[in-house]
Amino acid sequence: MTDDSGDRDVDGRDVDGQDHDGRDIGDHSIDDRDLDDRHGDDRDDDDRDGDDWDDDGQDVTDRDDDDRDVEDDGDVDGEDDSPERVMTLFRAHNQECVARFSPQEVQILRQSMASLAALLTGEPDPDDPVVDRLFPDVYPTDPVQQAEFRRLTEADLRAAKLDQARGVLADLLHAGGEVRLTPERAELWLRALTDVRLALGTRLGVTDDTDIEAEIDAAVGRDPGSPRVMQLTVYLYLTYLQESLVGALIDGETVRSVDSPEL
Amino acid sequence: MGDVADTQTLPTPTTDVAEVSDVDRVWVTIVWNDPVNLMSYVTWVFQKLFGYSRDKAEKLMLDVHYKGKAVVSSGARERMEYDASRLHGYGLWATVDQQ
Repeated sequence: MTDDSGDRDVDGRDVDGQDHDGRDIGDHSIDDRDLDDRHGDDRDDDDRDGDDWDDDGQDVTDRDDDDRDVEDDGDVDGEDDSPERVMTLFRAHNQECVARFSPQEVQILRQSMASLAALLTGEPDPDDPVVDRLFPDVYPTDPVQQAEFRRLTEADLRAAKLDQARGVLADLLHAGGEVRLTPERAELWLRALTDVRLALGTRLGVTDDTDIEAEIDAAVGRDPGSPRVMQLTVYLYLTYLQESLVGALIDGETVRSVDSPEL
Repeated sequence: MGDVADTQTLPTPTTDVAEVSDVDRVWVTIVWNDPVNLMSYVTWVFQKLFGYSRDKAEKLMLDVHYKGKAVVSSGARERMEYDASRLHGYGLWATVDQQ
């Protein structure tokens, strides 16, 4: 398993205060600059949203409204929200889990969920380790029982996973950068993020001993523009995002269970 | 007659202990360690799906993490298959076995 709780910084600020050659990994937040540095030439090709972001790194999705919203509601976490840094991972706010994404983060989430949906709707490849991981054998040593179990359960499991990926896509479509999730919706996101990370982690060959940040450094050393750098960066970002969502959901449950208006 | 010792005599063991216990062996759901899932998430899933206390869920999570696997539920076979499929829905790696 992976434990990222140790240095989690839900504020999205640098955890270690270091600048890794201009990469902002410690930030846990992927903004335009991160990918500009590495993928400046490719980026426009991937920009299916056209105007959703621009080149100076400004979030163009209703930022004024968002800022006013925060002030009206009171500060989400009681800490300073500097205007230059409004992207946040998930945190508990009232009954909801709230995060603000840069347009680039939205794009990464969309592409991740769309890839998962494509995998789930495509012809299943029994030799694909990702399929093995998303649909594990429940009777690994009993092919007959396993076939029967799969016959009874796999279609439903596949449909549920597909619904989750599409659910996240739908939430992002209406979000405009800020996502507010009810507890039920947060659970759907957690399951979908898990599936995406399982698929990506399997493709990347992640093991218990893998140090993702060291992998990124090594991959950048070989070729800063390689797909592996991008995939590892996305994986790390999704890991922090999921960790923050688990934390926000638990924080919200704690608040609900003691029925306290604070926090 | 009327002797306490007589009334408390246990029935003699049935002829084939092994066969009986094989049928009665309890079914279990096992969760296996994987390199992707977050410790906090796995703990939360155990609480969510099985209603375990945070302490129990955390202990099971740590068993999975450090010992490589943990029995997270036991009972009738159909129930274990149901638990395993729910765990797969949450992306955990679960199998069903007899113990």
